Amino acid sequence: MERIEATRWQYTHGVKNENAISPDNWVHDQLLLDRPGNNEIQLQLFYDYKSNPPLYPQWQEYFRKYQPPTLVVWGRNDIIFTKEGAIPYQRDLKNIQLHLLNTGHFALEEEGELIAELISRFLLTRHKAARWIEA
Amino acid sequence: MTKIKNQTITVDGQTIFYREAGDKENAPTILLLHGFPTSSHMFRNVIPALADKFHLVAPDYPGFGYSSMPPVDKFEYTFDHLAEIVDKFITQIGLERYSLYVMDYGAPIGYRLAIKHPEKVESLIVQNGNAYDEGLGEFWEPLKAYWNESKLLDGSIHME
Repeated sequence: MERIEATRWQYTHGVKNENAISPDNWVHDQLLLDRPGNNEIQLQLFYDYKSNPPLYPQWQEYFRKYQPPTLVVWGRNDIIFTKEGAIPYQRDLKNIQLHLLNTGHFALEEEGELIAELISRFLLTRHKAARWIEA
Repeated sequence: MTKIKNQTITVDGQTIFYREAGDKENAPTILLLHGFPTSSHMFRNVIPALADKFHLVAPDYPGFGYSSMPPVDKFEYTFDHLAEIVDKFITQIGLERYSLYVMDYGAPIGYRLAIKHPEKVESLIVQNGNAYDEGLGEFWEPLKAYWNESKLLDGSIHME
């Protein structure tokens, strides 16, 4: 099902520089996808993905009710989950930082250092984790 | 060099592989939930980058990475079930509170956990993890058609 070109595409579409993305990603994934029986597993999950959109209202209700501090770091050139899906988090969450990064679906590949820095700053300054630093 | 522990634990009879680093006792925990078609492998660089300040835990779901891959007639591959396995995994390794990093498949799994245990979730880190209709663009049209089929098709979906 998942030919290696398609697996590779998930890593490379929308990136600034393809040379920054290690082939280790898709070679590793493909090896595991090509195991006998894995194709059927992935098809079942593609099928069951239909269970998710009907739950979106419940998740959004959770955001509104519990207001977890939220950091959104979204590869804005992703066409699987487009940036239009990042913006509405701001409707439901008050304590939110949103960063639309100039990269693709697997944003950690190209922007991992930046994302690590943003996580570190966000969690240590805006969140209860600060109590750990103070201790 | 940061030490990353590569471990396994048995959850509901399935071997769950996970990568772990950082100070479990004193540092805040980040639970990293991976996307398709990868595994905790996608976090191999971000884990050491954060391990001096945080405790990081990244499990592979059944069917992915180095976790068990029972066949479809022996294991129900649904998001409900994967979330149930991750929930039990969290209990077994003793995580009481954590921030959730959700990416791709990690979002439907992580948000199921958050709804079940809102008190455990300290914060969210959302990386291309969808919770709004607006995020499902044209890419999803063939999959939506697939969802409307009365039975599973065999092998006709390509992720392009």
